[in-house]
Amino acid sequence: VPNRRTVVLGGIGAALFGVAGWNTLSNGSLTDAGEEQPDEDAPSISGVSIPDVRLYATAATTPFGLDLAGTPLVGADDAEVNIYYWGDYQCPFCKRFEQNAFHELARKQIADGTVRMALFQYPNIGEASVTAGALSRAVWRVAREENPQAFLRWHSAVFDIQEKPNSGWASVDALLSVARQVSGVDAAAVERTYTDNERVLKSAIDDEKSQGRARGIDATPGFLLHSPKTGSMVTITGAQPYERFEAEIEAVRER
Amino acid sequence: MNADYVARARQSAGRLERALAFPFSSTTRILGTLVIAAVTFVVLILSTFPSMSVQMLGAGLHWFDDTLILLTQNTVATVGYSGFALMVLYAGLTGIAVVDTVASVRVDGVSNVSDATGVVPGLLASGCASCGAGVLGLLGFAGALAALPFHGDLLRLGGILLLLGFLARAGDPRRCRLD
Repeated sequence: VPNRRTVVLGGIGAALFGVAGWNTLSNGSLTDAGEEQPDEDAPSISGVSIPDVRLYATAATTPFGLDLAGTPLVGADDAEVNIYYWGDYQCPFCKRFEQNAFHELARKQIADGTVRMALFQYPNIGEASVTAGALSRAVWRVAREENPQAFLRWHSAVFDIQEKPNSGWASVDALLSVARQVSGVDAAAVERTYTDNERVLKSAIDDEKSQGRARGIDATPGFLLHSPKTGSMVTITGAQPYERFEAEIEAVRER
Repeated sequence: MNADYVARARQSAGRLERALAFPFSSTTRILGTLVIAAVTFVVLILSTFPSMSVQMLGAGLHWFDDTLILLTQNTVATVGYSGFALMVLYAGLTGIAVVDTVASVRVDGVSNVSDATGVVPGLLASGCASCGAGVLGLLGFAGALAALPFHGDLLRLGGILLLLGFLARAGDPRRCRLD
C-alpha cells in the first residue's frame, strides 16, 4: 500500500518544481530589446520603437512569380536579400517575431540596405484573422501614397492590442479605433475603403495566403528568404530568434 | 440497480486512487514518473509547432532551450493558462500511467496482457487527443487548434478523461483484479 506521507511529499515536490519552472518562464522577457524609450511618432510594439525604415508599394512581380502588388514593402528595393513574411494579426507568435527579430532586422539589415521585407497576410486562425488582414490592406491603400510610414504605426499598434485568438479583440470597430488613434492614418478613409471593397480586399488576402502556400508556407509566421543575386532560397518557420535569421541571411547571400 | 452502479463507481474510484498513488510510493518511482512526465511535456510542446522545432533543432542542439521556451510561451499565449495546465496535467498522468504499466509488467510478466492492453491503447488514444496541436501541425494545420471551440481544450480534456479512465481500470499494478 503506498505510503501517504510519500504521496504528499511527492505532490508538494512536483508542485514546487512546477511553480519554479513557471516562474522562470513567465519572467522570460517577451521584449528582448525592451530597454529603449518609446518615441511617440515612430512605430512601436509594447513601447519598443521600430527604427525609421522606408515603406513603399510596387506593382512588381518577383523572378519566381510572387505578386507584390498591394503588399507593403520595407527596406531598399535593391537589397541583397528579400524576406517575404506571411503573418496573421491574431497569431501570438507573429507578435513575438514583431517584438524581437523584426525589431533587430529593422535596426540592422533593413536599415543598412541588406534586407528588404514584404509583409504578406496569411489568415490562419479564424474569421477575425481575415477581417484584420483585409482591414490592413484598406489601411495600406489609404496610406501608401501620402504617408506609408503610418501603415507600420497601425500594424504595430494592432499587435500591441493583440489578445487571445478569436476572443473578439480583432473586430472591425476595434481595428478602426486603432486607426483613429494612430497618427497619420485617415480613419474615415480607411472605413470607406474597407466598406466599399470588403470582398475584394478579402479576396486579395486569400490570394496572398495562396501564394505563400504554393511556396511551402504552412504556418505563421512563415518566411521565405531569397537572394536575387545568387537565386538561393530558404524558408524559416515560426518566431525564431534574430540570430537564426542573421545566420540564414548570410547563408542565402553566400550560397 | 443503482446500488450496483454506486458500488462499481466506488471500486473504480478506489482503483484510480491506488493507480495515482503507486508512482509516489518510492523515490525511484517518483523520479521515473517525473522523468517520463518531463519527456512527455517536451514532446507535447515541440509538437505544437513541428516544422519550427525541426528547423531550430536541425540548426543545432544548442537551440533546444530557446525552442522549448519560445514554444511554451507561444502555447500559453495561444491556448491560455487553462489549456497549458491541461497539457501539464496530461504529461503528469502519462508519467503515472507509464510507471504503473512498467510495474504491472514486472509483477505479472508480459503474459498479463489484460492490463497492458488496457493501458497502452489508452496512452496512444489520449496522446493523440492531447497533442492535437502537434498532430494538426504535422498535417499542415498548425493554427487550426486555436480555431477549435475552447481553443482545443475540449480535445485535451477528452484525452485526459480517457487516460484517467484507463488508470481507473488498471488500479494498483501490484494487485490482481478479480472482476
